[in-house]
Amino acid sequence: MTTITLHDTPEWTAVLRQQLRAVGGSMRTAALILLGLAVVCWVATGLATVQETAWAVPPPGFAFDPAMTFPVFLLGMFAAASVWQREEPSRRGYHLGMPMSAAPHTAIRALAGWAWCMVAVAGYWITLWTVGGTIVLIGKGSFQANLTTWLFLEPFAAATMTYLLASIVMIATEHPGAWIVSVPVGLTILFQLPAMYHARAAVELSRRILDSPFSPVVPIWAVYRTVSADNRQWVIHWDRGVAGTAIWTTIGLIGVWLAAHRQSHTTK
Amino acid sequence: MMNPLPTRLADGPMAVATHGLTKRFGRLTALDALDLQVPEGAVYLLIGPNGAGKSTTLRVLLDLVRADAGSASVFGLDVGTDGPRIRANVGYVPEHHDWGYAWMRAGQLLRHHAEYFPAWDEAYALRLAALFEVDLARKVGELSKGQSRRVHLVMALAHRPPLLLLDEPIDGLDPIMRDETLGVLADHLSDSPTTVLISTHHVDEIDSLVDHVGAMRAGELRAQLSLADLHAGLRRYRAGVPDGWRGVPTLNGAVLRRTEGPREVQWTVWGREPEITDQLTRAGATVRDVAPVTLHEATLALLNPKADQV
Amino acid sequence: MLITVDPADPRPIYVQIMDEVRRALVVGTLAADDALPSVRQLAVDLRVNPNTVAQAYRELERDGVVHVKRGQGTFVNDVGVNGRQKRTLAREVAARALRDAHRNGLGADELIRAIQTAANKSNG
Repeated sequence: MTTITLHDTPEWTAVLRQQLRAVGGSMRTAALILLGLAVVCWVATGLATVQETAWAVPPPGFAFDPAMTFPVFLLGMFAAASVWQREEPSRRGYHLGMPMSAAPHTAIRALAGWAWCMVAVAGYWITLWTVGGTIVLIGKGSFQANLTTWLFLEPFAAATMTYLLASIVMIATEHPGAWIVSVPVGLTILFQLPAMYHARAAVELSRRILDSPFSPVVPIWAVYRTVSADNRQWVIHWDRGVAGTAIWTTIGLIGVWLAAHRQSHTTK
Repeated sequence: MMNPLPTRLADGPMAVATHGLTKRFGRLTALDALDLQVPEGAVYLLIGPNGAGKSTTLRVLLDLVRADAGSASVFGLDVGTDGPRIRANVGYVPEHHDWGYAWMRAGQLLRHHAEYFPAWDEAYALRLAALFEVDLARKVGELSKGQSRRVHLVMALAHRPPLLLLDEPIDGLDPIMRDETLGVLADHLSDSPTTVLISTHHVDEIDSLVDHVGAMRAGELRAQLSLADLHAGLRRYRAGVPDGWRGVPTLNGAVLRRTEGPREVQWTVWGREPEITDQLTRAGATVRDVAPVTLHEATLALLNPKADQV
Repeated sequence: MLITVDPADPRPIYVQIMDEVRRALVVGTLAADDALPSVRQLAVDLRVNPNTVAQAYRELERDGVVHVKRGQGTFVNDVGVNGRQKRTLAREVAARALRDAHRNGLGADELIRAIQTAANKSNG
């Protein structure tokens, strides 16, 4: 052993703090774009409502439909892509060169990205409600929320799952773009095949998978709804959403950890 | 047979020690049973042609690259198991210039880097940044090669690590900045007890700071010795030779370089001066001049791929 | 005090530093009780390993040319130094000249005659 006093490694709290700052900084452009989109959306809806109010009976109102949370999964994907942009495994030398074990360090960075992703989802929620509120304010129609606990949490859950799954791809692969395009396309084809070939048993199986908590639709949209018997109302099956979220989140967390472990050294 | 080139240093506390370190990239063998020894407090120059494995060696020491066989230790810590602790005690300037985040401003990157090294000296960092004329407001991605090199130097020096691993640290810098960097290194060495392992082709400029040399070829060390031993053991002999001179077979292996003229030959030979002069004289040569060689010339001799015959 | 070192010079750097100090003494740039530059300052100025400067100062102290005052620096010793340094320097210049002569195929006698001629010319 040496007689030299060796320096210490940093505390993980300091690293997390710094990663939040760094990841947030790297997402700033994306955040500004999203903010811009939100403003455009708000203004456009406001203008459209003004027009519509002139000649619509009944007056335009806002009724919350679970389908409105569908696009949130994109936030998860783009957040993951943003955290690891231009840092494919072959270009991750600086990150791996820091005085912290690769797996925890990568996990902390993923955690920081997730925190900002949740901020984006909250932003989405706020946008949705302000847009709805604007419509009601201008149109003087009715405001229907019908928001259960699960429906409120669902966008955060969906974004989390997509973020984790996309992170696995971003952390582990050299060409994540190829994966992010081919996996959804591949799955879609896979689940369409039975119907195309009129394979009844396979159709039955694929339908069962799609309706179960293991459905690949869950990470995208953890809201399962059917129409009520009288065709009037949406019936939300929150149990599939919650169970599915638990399953897919676990898969995502394990996957991220394994990917972080695997990518602990540079390739050159 | 004269002494072959030395490849082992005297025992003592080693900042860096590798044993049989081997690394392959596909079919290319980058490191071939490398036995590197860098004594504590040394300024060790690692020389070798491109592709010799110098950069790979530095990356293995940082556990950025995992070796296929053998072991490596830094300050007694094993590279495979204590990577983070080692990296906390190393200031690294990488060969390639993408180090850090391109979207950050230089000042932000320094602050980011500082958070990872509890021993960071902020005042020193600012002083270095000023000395190197770093524009803290410029985005890292927009810096030229030389400018980013200077930022990397600040990042490596500011936490006063016990070990500096410098991969072509003055490459891409203009002559004034190169000179400035050497002054900064001399100053840095005066302040903190530091071991430096530096890989560079700019041997001429760095030779006044260096006290050990390792000559690397094809993943292994052809020679590893202190500069004092190098100056003592490597000489350039200039001698007149008769017509039909056939050489001195007993010196084969010790002659590293040879230049010929009509009836005069010049060799760079490793060995003890009296013995070699004696052998040459007895073989019929008239030794006219024996001179030490500069580090640059020694480099060329140590790395000469052709085992010259006298 | 102006010190320069030449890496191309066959003498080790610490020897060059020592010779430069001797030269300064002989020429008069350095006098008794003058302070030498600090090890750090000289190392930075010359872009040289501080250990090399320290070694030069140590050897100079061993030769009785300088002495170290703890915490204050390295200082030139008192009188009597000048003459000795001149002789040391002269010896080294002569050794260099002889080596150069030998390389050019000249013997010591030929060199001495040539030096005498050159000295007469510059005096006359």
